[in-house]
Amino acid sequence: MGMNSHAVASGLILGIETSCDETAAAVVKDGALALSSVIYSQQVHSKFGGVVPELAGREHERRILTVIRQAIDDAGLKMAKPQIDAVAVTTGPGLAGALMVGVAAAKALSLAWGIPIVGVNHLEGHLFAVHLEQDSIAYPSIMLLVSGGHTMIVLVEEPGKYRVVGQSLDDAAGEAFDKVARFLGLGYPGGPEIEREAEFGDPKAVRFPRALRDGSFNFSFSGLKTAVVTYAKRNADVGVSDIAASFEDAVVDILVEKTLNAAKAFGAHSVALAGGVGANTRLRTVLTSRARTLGVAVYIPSRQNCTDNGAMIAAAGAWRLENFGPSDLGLGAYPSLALP
Amino acid sequence: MILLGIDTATEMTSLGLCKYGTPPAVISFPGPKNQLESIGPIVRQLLDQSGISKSQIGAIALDVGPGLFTGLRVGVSFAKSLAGGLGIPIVPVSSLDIQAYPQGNCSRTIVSLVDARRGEVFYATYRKVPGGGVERLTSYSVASPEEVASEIESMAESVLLVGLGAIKYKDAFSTVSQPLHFAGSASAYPLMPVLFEIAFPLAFSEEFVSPESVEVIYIRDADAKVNFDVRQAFPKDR
Ligand SMILES: [Zn+2]
Repeated sequence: MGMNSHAVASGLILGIETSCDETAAAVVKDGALALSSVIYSQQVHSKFGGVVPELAGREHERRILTVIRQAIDDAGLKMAKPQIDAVAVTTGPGLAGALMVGVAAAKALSLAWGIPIVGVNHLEGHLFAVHLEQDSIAYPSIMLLVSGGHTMIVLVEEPGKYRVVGQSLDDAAGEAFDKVARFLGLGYPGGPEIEREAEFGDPKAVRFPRALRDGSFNFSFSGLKTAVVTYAKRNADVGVSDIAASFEDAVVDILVEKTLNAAKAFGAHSVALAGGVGANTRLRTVLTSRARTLGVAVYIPSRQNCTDNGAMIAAAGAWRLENFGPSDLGLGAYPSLALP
Repeated sequence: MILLGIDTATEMTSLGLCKYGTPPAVISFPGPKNQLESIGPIVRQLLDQSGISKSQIGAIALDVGPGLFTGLRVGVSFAKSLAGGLGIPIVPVSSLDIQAYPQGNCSRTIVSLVDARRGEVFYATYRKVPGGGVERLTSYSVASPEEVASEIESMAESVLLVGLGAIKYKDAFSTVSQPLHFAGSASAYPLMPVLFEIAFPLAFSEEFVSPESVEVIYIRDADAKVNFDVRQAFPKDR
C-alpha cells in the first residue's frame, strides 16, 4: 500500500510496438525516462473506416527499421553500436500479421547486438505508461484502459498484480466513436473527429442513455450507438455538433462514473488513464476533476503515452526483465493474449 | 565474403550461412508454422555450429518473393532489422528467379511458378543465357494455372515448368498441346544453395541495397476491405 516504486532493470531498453496500426519504437532509461519515442501512425486505413490487417502488416514491414533507427538516433545512440541493454517487444494481443513484424525485428536486434529480448503484453504496456511520467504510483490503483480495441477497468494492486474488474460487454469505447463518427458522416478515426465536432456543440443538447447502471463496472456501448443513430434520424434539425457533443458526454460520463465507483469500491489510492481514447480532452478533464473530489491521486499520461507507443513497452519490459528475466529467442506472437 | 541466407517466401523455410567457395550450411523446415518462433534460434544455431561470428557476415541474401505474405513479412522484417543492427547490406533475390536459375542448361523456355494459394500461382518466364544462368523474359505476375496454361499454349514452344506451382496444378497444364516438362520435386521450392549462387556475384559487385530500401514483391494487392470479423476481435486500437 501507499507510494511504491517498483524494481526495474536498469539501463537502456529499446521498446518495439506493432500490434495494430502504429509502428512505434522508443529508447527508455531505467524503465522510466524516455530518451526517444517514435510513433508512425499508418494512414492507409482511413478510407476503409477501420484497420485492414494485410495493409497494416505491409506498412509495419515497410517502416519498422526506419522507425527503430529514428528512435536510436533520437536517443543520441548509434545503430551499429547502440549500447542498448535489452529489447522489449509487444507479443500480443493484436493483429497476428502486425505483431509478427515487431517480434521478428526484436529477435533480429537481440541477435545482432547480443542482448536479451523480453516479450511484453500490450495491455500491460498501456498500464505502464504512467511510470514514464510519475516517479511513484499510489497503489492500489484503478486504471481505466480505454482504446479502440479495449475498454476495461483494471485494479492494479502493484505492477504485475492485475484484476480486470469491469469491461465492455460489446463494443470498445473507441469502436463506438468510430461507428458513430461514420454514421454522422465524420472521418476516421472517429475519436478525434467526434472530439473536433463536439467542440462546437452543446453536450447537454441531448440526454443519451447511460447503459448498465447496475452497480457493475461493466460497459455497454452498442445501445448508446443505436440511440444516437435513431435520434439523429428522427431529429434531422439537430446539428451534428450537438449530437457529437452529447454522445461524447455520455461516453465520458459513464467511463468516469464507473472508474470512480470502482476506485471507491476497491479502496484505490489513485486512478489512472491508459489507452488511445485517453487522448480525449473531455475524458481527461472530467476524470481529473471528479477524481479530485474523491480525494485520490489521478494520473493522466500525455496524449503520446496514451496512444500505442514503444516507450510504454520498454517501461513494462524493464519491469518484466528485472522480475522474470528475459524471454526465449523462440518467442512468438499471440493475437489473443490476455492481461497477465 | 560470408553471406547469411534467409528464405521465408514459401512453405519451405530455409536459413543458411555460406563462406564464398565453400559448401553452405543450410537448415530448412516446412513452414509457415513456427517460422517466426524458429527464425532467431536457427540463425544462432547456424552461427554457433559453423564457428562464424555475426560480425563476419558481409551481407544478407534475402528471398523477397513473390510468395506467402505473412512468411515474407517475417523473413524480411527479421532480415532488415538484423542487417540494420549489424550495419550490413542486403542482396534481394526473387523466389521465382531462384527456382529458375538451376535450369540454365535447359534449352526450353522455363516457367517458374510459386503457389500463391487461393487457386493462383505467381510466375515468370525465363530462358537460358550463354555462359550459364537464366534471364527473365516477363515481369512477375499472378494468375490462375489455367490462365498460365493458355499463355504457355500461345508460346508454341517446348516448356519446362519448375516449382510447387507447377507440381500442385499439374492437371491444369494437361490442356497444353506442345511438349511440357516438369522439373521434379527437388525443385519444388527455392533452394538456399541457389540463392547463395545468385547472391555472391551481386554482393561482390556491390549490387546490394540498404536494409531500409528492401521491398517485398507482393504482386497481389492486399484485400483492401476491412475484415469485420478481425475488426470485431481487435478493432482500431487508439
Ligand atoms: Zn493499445
